Amino acid sequence: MLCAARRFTLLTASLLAAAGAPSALFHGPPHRPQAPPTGAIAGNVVLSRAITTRRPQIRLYSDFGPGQVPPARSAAPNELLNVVVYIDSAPLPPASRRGQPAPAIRQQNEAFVPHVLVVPVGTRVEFPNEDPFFHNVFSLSQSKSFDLGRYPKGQSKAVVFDRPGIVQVFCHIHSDMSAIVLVRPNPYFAMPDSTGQFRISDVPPGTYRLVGWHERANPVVHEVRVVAGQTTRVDFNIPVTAPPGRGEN
Amino acid sequence: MARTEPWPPRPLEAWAATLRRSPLAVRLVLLSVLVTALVVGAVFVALDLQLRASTRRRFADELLLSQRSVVRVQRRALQDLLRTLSLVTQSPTLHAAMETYRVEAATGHGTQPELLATVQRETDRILGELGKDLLVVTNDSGRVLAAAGRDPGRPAAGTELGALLTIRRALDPAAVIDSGNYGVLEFGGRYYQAASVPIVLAGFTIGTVTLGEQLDRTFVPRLREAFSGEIVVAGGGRVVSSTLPSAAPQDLASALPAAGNSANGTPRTVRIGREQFVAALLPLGSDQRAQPVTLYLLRSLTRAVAPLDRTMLLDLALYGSLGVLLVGLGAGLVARSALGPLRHFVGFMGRVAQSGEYGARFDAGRSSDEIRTLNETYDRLIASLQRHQAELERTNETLRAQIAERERAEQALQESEEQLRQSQKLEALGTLAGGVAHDFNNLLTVIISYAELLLGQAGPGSRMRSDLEQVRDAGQQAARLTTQLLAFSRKQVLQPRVIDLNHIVESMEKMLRRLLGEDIDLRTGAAEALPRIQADPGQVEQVILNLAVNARDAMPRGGTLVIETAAMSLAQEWISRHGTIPAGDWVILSVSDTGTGMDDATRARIFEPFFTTKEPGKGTGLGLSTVYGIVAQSGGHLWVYSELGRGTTFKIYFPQVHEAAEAEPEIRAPVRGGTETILLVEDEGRVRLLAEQILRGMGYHVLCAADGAAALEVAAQHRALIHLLVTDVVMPHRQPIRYLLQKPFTPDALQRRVREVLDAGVAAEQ
Repeated sequence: MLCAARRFTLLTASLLAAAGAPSALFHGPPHRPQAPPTGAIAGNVVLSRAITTRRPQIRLYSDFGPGQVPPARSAAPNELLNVVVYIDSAPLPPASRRGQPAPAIRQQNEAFVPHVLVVPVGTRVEFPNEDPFFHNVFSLSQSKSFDLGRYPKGQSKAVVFDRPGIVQVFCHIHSDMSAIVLVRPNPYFAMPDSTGQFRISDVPPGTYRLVGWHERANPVVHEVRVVAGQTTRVDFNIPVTAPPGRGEN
Repeated sequence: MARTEPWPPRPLEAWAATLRRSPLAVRLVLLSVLVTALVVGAVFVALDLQLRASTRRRFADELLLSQRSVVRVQRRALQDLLRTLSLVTQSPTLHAAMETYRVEAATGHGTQPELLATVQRETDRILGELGKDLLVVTNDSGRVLAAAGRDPGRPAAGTELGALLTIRRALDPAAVIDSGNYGVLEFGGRYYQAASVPIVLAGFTIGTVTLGEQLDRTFVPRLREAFSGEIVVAGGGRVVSSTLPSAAPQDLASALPAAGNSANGTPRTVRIGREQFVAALLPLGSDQRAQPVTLYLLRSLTRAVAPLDRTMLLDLALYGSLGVLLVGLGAGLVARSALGPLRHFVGFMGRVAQSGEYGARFDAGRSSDEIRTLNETYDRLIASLQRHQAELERTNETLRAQIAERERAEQALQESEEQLRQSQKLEALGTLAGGVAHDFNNLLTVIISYAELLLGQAGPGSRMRSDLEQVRDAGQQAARLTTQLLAFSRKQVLQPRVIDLNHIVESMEKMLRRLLGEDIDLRTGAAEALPRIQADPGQVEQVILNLAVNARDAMPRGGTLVIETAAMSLAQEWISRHGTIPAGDWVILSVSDTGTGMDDATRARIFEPFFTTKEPGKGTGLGLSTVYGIVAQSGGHLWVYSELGRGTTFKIYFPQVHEAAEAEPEIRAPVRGGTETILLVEDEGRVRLLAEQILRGMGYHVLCAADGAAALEVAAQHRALIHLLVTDVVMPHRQPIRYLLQKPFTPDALQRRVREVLDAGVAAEQ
């Protein structure tokens, strides 16, 4: 237990660290000289229900009686980092991201970092192993199923996600490890920072369906009109689906 | 149906009756056997109860321990399940397949069938490796994704199990995993104890997995290893699992106590079928339908106690029999020591009863107090008995004497009355006959006397003379009749003398033989030294003659006549008992014949004059009357005994006299006359005249008087010596009669008698 708790702390720290990177990566303005004028979408994401992640606590030696509820941890600081805001069904050209460094999902401290990775279709994603033990990255997802096999520290294997969709990545050795690769057909997506702020730049003007996504929530869709030269503000309130039986109260 | 025979049946009563009649020793032994058997039985029951109670207590304690150990076992099972589950939830395949499936389902673009198949296969594989009975995997809403298990009743994929408490708890992110995740689940009629835990992926619950052990298949057998008794699990009102071999599950369910408030209370006793159990119950929880599932731990009291009972019963039977033997022996000894003296005593009493020696005493010297007391009581009883017997004897004696006295008195009274009546009758007859005879005598005296006088004048051989003789003879015959009548009426003149009766009998013997004839055997018996009697010998002869004639007539075909004499002194006592003869010294003349005898009616009348049983003309009827008169006049008594066909005995009692016998006077002497003065007193004029003539004819000087008074007057006037008084005897007179002359007298008799008396008087004076 003690060991698990410590591991959790480490995990949190790494998530936080990972969260910063992509936002820095994608928030930069695109530099395309002949590109038509574009607008931007920015806003704030709020998770309407405090999502608590859990680590099951087993009290084997307690007597029969009411169990003690462990103190709830707010999921807000990091779960916001697992939120993706993207423009759905945009009649947009496929994104070409050549020249950009390949994104990676590291296997670090028995966890995939980052937990959620959003990439345009066709992106090659690296799965480097940074742990001093074997991992076995695989996916059963429809859009991209693969099994990278076992490989030790220092090695990395890559997967090209050539179909849009949600690809869930697991480790065959460490069952609690999971990652999600959100493969988008277009490059218009963003992940909020730890305060919930997000920004999608270089969006061609038009009206779009803007989706706020979280793996534990039903996608929240907003109609958004993007005007060139303007930043359209859209705030998301993503209600996290509560497990059945506990009601909506 | 009504029972007609009594119950208990007769043999039992007969047996009881036999027992009541049986000797004390047998009853004592039987009683002791009965008492011992009862005691043994009671001890057995008491011990059995005690044994049962202690066994029950012991079992209760054991069951409480077992209960605790079962709880421990259960907890260990839970831990085992949870540990196992925690491993199960680590399955990467499950995670990947379930999470992928979830997300695919959420996006609504269809799911790969391989995902659920993978989950199912993984589930099957895990269950196969764990060797448990049920494994159910649900998604994060509790819908079954996959289920594995031996029983086909396991939940199918797609079943919503989110309502199950354990799954709800597993899905609750706020809940720790502990006993709340443990429960009893029922699927398809099978009960499982199961635990549900969440499948957590990266901190999120993506589903649950439930692992179960079938209660009857796994759980109970495992408990059985640690618990030696019987185990029954009941759920939903029926028996889920039972190690009891026999009882039907439904009976069992109704017999078991319901798990109520006293869930963990003290064990209690229940009866299942024919066995008694101590039961402790342990609630395992409720299944998903909120019906309690209870575990019963049972220890068979019956099976535990039975062998002990058997041993105990054997021991008790052994010691009981020993006890019965000893007690019986003791009772026998006691009975013997108590009954031995008693038997001796009873024997003694029997001997006394047989011999009648009531004076005998029992020696109770060394006997017990009871026997001594008994003996003393017996002695007192006997003494009292003897006293009473003596008293009774005395009373009896007195009573007997009184009765005899009364009988004698009555008899005597009767007899004397009879005799009196007889005497009075005979007296009356005698008076009548006497009167008649007297008058006839006077007439006959005249007739005969004158006939004699005329005969003296009649010439010999003349016709007149023979006629006169005829007159005289007839007169004399009539005179004999009247003499007999007078004899009966005791009016005849007796000339008693002191005589020897033997002599008279002896002198008559020859004449009697002639009289009796050859057919009759006469036997005479003379008593030696027979005392004398005073009687007229002629009359005594007359008596004997009459009796002999009577006897002869009673023996027409011959027989024996016995004439005996005897002397006898009759004491007053004998007299009072036997007869009417007065006490005194008697000479008895006994005349017995072997003739026809008489009946009582005849015997009562034999002394009546003219009573006769003979043919007319053969007897006068005066014979026995004469006898009676003579005997009575002689101061004697008559006693007659007669039996018809055997004979008759007459006994005549003459009073004894102690004087020498007088010589018989000389009768025949020439009669001479005299000149003496004779006073003749005669009331009958004709007789007086006749006598006067006769006496004057003899030369005597005769003075006559009609009666006593006249005679005194004549005597006074005469003034000279009167030598002789000749008087009729029936006249009153004062002088004792010295000389008697029987009427009807003849002149000769008168002359002779007068001369005798005169001469005697002269002789006496000289």
